[in-house]
Amino acid sequence: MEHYEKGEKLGQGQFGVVIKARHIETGQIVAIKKIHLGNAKEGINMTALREIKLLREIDNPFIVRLLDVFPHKRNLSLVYEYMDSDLECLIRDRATIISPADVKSYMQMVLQSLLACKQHWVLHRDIKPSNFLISMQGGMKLTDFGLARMFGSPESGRYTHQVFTRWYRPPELLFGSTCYGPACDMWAAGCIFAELLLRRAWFPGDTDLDQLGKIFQALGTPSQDSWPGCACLPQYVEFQTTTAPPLRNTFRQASEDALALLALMVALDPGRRISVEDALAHPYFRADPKPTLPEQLPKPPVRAHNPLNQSFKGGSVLQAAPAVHSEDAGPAGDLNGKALHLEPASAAVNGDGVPNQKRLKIENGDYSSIASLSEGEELHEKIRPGNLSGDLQKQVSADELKALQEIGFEAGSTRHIISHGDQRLKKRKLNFDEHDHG
Amino acid sequence: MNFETSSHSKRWLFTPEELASVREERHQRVAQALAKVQGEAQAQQPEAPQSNGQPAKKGKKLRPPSLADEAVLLKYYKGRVQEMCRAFGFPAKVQAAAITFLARFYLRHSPLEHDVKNIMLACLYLAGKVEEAYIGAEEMCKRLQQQEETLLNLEPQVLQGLGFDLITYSPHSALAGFFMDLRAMKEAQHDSSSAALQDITEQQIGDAKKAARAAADALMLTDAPLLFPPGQLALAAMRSGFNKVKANFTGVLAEIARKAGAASAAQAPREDICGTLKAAISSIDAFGAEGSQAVSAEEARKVDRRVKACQGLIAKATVDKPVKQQQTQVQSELNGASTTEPPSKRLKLDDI
Repeated sequence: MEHYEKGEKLGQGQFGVVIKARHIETGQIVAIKKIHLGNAKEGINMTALREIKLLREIDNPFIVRLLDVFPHKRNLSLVYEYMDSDLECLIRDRATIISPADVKSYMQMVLQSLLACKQHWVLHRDIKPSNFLISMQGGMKLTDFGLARMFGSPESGRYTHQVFTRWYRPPELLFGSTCYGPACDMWAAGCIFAELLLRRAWFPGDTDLDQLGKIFQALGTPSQDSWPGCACLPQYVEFQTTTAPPLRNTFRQASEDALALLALMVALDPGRRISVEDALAHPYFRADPKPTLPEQLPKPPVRAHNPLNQSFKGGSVLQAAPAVHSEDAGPAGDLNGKALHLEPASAAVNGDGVPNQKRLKIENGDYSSIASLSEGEELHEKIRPGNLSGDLQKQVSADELKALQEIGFEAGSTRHIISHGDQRLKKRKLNFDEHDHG
Repeated sequence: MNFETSSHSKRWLFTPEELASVREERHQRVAQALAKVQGEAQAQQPEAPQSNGQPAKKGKKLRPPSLADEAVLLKYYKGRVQEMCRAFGFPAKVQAAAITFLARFYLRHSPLEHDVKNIMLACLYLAGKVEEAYIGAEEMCKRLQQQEETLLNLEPQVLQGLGFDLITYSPHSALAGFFMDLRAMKEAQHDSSSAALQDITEQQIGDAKKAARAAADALMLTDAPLLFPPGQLALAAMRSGFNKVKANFTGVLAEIARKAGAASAAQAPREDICGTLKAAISSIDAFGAEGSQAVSAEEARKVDRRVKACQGLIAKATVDKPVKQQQTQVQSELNGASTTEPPSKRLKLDDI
């Protein structure tokens, strides 16, 4: 702490305060999050641990940098680069005009952040405007990895559906899915896209049910065609059938290609939702007007009393996601892992983000990336006909090895496995259950 | 996460020389601090009995355990981690992470500063959290009959000792990947005439895999994970598994090298890759042999007694004198100048 000169308090959160500070030697302005260790029964808070664990490994221009961590008195201090504002402030600020070219630029940066997460095998799980920090120079970075986790390893077990702030939570999570992939972050990015266009939240649900209601009102209720298998999700609720009105009714000013991309980002079926790579390659970003250069973006309003990030208001995330710490517990098993392969697998095998060349560079020993995928082999041994419902059995055992080695998965098989994943999990009694506090 | 850009690859792989010098430097520091404490104790009370109650012979000094002794102790506790992980039904990645944490922690710290058993428990607990195979501190301690508080109090220090680098890569995951590849290769060769892999039966593969996992476990007990990337450790374990079932590994290695060559950007010739891998595997094999020899509880206890005696002496020195001043002095000598811990907390931990 002696290396820093303390500045104003930026916010107060559930785990401690966030202050602004200046590194005495370099003069760099930083934000210090102090996490109080106190007498917590479980030691260092899982949220803090996740943030440290992931941010120590990620060095990317679109992800906030964790500069230092040190214990100080009864605190653990996390030092971040300081950013002046965030996307939520910008959207809410009536005085700021956000042009279509600006929206394009912001969305490009949002997607770049998502790409960085995916390339590092991380699901952020709390994508929302206030977690995108903006600097005066126009740069934008994703922050708050307290709910994030690694994906793609069959060992990693069941994921909680109690993540994301409700307004940005994807429908599969609202229906209680515990097997999901990077598509969940894409949904939230779609909501941000809409919010940039509308200048207000698109789906401001009051309850989880109301949230689904608002989503289906805008996008239509899911059907067997539009989202096969959704009725099998653990907390599926049937809504009175409605068809989607044209997006144009809501977004009157938006360009055609903007709406085309938006529709792909908020596909109800996570298996059909656009991948981050495809989204970045979408014609929308190449069409006129060109995305504004970062330094020419509107200057964000400086937060008056806003903390480093929203969750430290002690608010929304935590209320929205009460069960976070007790979930994600025991490796709920191999079958689950199998289901998880879907998105991860295509990423690993065909190398979107994890190219084959990396994967096979043995002299550097990076087998871990395939390994996480390839442990599917063990699954293979266990998933024998008889354990599974008909559909799935075919999907998993017949093409398994080939599919894993080939470039990407068929969208169809993806959907099936996702939709059946939860049921299978429920049926299985695993020896790990006793550690599973979820 | 990609291994190439990971903290594991950037900060936690050493050459044998680096590893030796890191340890030697640390060992010297602690030995000097200990000698100083002893000198002061003897100057103060030349005829007084030592802390163990036996009369102190003039000139007899308590010898701190050597690096080799420490290695024995650490290996013993790494083995205990594996036992506990089996008992808890933790997946291999938790075991590997816990052992890696333990090994890394004692690169920077001496067993004289922090009791290995307690640190081991803290590492295991942390590994469970990090790898999302969480077991509550209360439950874990209940089952191991340990004090929760000890473990939780050590957590920040363990984190700091690890430099907050928490993502580790295990040979076990890589191993599973290689066997996956093997099966795919076999299938691909099924129709072709180049049937190098066809002599290996499914039964053999299954047995080899089991043996290879055991070999990976053995490697985890040695320094090999600090010297070689997990992929190479896995290949060595795999070859060991193949030898066990008397299957030929050459063909498999050649296939893996071919795939690596095809995918590598540098287009390194296959022979080179094969040669590099073979060389690495051979050096790893020596560690495997070492790792498969268990440390008996008796051996470990012997070292542990010496460690405890030194710890006792240090604790005594800090208690005998005006507490605050002395303690900070001794502790900071032990820890180098870097400590930011409050003294009161340190004492409590070292007193155990």
